[in-house]
Amino acid sequence: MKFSTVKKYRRRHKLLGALLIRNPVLVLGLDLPFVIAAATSLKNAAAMAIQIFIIHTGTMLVGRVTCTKLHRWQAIVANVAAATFMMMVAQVLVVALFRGISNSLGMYLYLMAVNAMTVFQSSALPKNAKIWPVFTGALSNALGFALVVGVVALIREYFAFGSLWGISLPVLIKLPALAIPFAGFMLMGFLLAFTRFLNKRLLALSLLETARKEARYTKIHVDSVETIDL
Amino acid sequence: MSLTANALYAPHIRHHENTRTVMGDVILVLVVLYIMAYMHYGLRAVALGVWSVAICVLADVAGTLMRRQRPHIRDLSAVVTGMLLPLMMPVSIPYRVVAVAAVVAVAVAKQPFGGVGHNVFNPAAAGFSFAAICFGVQMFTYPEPQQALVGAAGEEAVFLPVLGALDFVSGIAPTFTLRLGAVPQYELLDMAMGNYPGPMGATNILVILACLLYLVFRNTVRWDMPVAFFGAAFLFAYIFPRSQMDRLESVGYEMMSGLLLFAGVFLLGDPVTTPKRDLSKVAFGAVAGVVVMLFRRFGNMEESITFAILLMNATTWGFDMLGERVYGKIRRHRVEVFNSQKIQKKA
Amino acid sequence: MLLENLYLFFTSAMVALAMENAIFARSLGLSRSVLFMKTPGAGILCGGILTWIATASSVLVAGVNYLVEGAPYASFIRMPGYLLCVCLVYAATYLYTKKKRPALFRVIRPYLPISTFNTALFGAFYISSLKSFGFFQTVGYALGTGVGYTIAIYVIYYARKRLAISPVPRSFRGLPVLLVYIGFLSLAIYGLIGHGLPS
Repeated sequence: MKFSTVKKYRRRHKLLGALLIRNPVLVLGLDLPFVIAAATSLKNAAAMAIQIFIIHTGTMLVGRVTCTKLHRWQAIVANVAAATFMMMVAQVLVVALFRGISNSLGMYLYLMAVNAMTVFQSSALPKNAKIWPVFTGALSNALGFALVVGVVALIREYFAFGSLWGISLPVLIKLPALAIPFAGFMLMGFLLAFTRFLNKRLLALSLLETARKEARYTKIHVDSVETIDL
Repeated sequence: MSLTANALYAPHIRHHENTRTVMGDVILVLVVLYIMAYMHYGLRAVALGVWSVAICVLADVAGTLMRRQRPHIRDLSAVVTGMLLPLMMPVSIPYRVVAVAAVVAVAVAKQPFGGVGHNVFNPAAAGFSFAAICFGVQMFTYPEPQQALVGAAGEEAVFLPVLGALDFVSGIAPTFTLRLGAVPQYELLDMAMGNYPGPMGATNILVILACLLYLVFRNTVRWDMPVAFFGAAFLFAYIFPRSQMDRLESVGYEMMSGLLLFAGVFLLGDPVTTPKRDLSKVAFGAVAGVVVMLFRRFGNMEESITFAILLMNATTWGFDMLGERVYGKIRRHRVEVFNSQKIQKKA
Repeated sequence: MLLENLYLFFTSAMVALAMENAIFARSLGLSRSVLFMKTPGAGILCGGILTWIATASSVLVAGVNYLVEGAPYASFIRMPGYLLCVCLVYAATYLYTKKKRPALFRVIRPYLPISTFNTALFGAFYISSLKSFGFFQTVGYALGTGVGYTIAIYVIYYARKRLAISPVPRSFRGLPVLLVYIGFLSLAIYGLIGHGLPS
């Protein structure tokens, strides 16, 4: 395969990558506590999504500066301090938008300041990282988190409480246990497995598509591609 | 000893049991418990069992096909799980609750871990625990058995309908009374005969003990683990009684109430989720007895034995590891003694 | 008075360790790097560092809770206060081990950031403020959280070993089946404590 083709594929699928193939929650396993314990309603999910957009993008931009100016251990402290400041800003917005969100989210509202995705990724930035890719990368990671937390919250609120966004809906069977963290663990396990299954199919399809394009030059007929698990 | 196909490939295996025979023995004793449940509560008890088995088998087949393997219904493991679940519940339980418990038992507790023989947690305990949290009121509301009603009022037995609305007299289960620290209103003899409100299959104490003897005789269940389990539970209940009465009487109520005996025979007798070595089994059984009684004393629910069993299932590897270390030391010691005797003889 | 305080210390430590375990009861401090520690020693080291940082910081955090209690905009001041306490202990640990104990520093350096800036640690502080704990209870709860976290990582390591020998379906291998396993452990602990979990 030509390297130029690989680069074109990577650029095209960067956003899709953060949503699915390199999703920070489903693939990288970051920020699990918020999805497992706090994502029990769509309002909670929306509040956490707004928070993560503000906290993650702000901290990544600060991290781009601190990684060049400070020692690594000082940079982590500065990044977490910046994340805390962003969390306070986000808290004002979220509390104003959603009534009763502090009771609903509880301490998870404040623990967003030390979420693993922000702490790890802001302290792992290379010194020559450019601003625009850092910003778009942070946005796409935050979008990936928001997608996962939204899907999990939708499933849990509908089947646990029989409502969506506080509006009662008819449900075949209510399972209140889905709102408890242990069910969050199990649901996340199944969601991760489903994502892995989807990623394999997507990868196989894209490899097939790329192989077919290459084959046009070499006149080889390509039927299928099998992925090997190493 | 007749030569079987196993003996051709593995002549060191001298036992005739396989998954099918083991499950078959358990199914046989469960059928006996269903007959007792039918006599106490009517056709609804059997209908719940059939419904649960159907859901478990369907879920098992679907899960196995999704894992891209051939379903083996003939190993009967899904049937056993399906039969166990309703016996742990009251007869008034709605069908949808049983369905939820069955799906969780097979699709969540069994299939993701690799299917039959590889599950870490007991599927029936997992399904029951999930349903107990979701449907707490229905799971712990026990109708009075018909013998008690007929004896008291002298009228003909009126069983619960198989389908449709339920109208029944609910009794106060001994587990609830013991939890409050009070003395249960039923005599110990009535409890031994199954004449008190409780889970469908767990109230027939004498029948369960007979089932245990049969399973031990058939080599399906080892005797040491249930004995260690019941012994530890007995001692704990004797030393720390929950209610103000004679200690032995308190122990009698503790042992015969709830799912203790049933779980000790059927849930702890699961060969997949319990240790393999003899010493490990005994230690596991003893610790499980103490943990179960601690859960009963401090737990949040009226019946929390299945949660204790799930916790113990997670420690099975630890008991096996410790057992192997102890056996390793014993074997090493024997080899050393043998070698020293050999050296002495030569000298 | 001392006996009473010691009793409060130990009971809050035991509650945090077993019944309100940070990972099993609240899923705090979970991430892929923690769940997939290469050796049990690495897990114990990570948990040990968290225990030290939590216990040392809780001495200062108890003071923050006392000062902030009832203050206006307390919810805004708490997190920066906790962060200040944790950063002081983190910086002191980093600098002291770097200067005086270089061998120890080389060992703990990779785990110091992930153990320090961890939701389990800050979660313990928030719970102590929510329950209005005194000094001994705050320190005991932080110590119990750290020890419980360490034990949980150890249990999860051996759970991975157990699951590695099972024919787990390809899509479930690794993190998915481990999460389902932890879910069942969490279910078992929930049966003991019930709905009494603050968030």
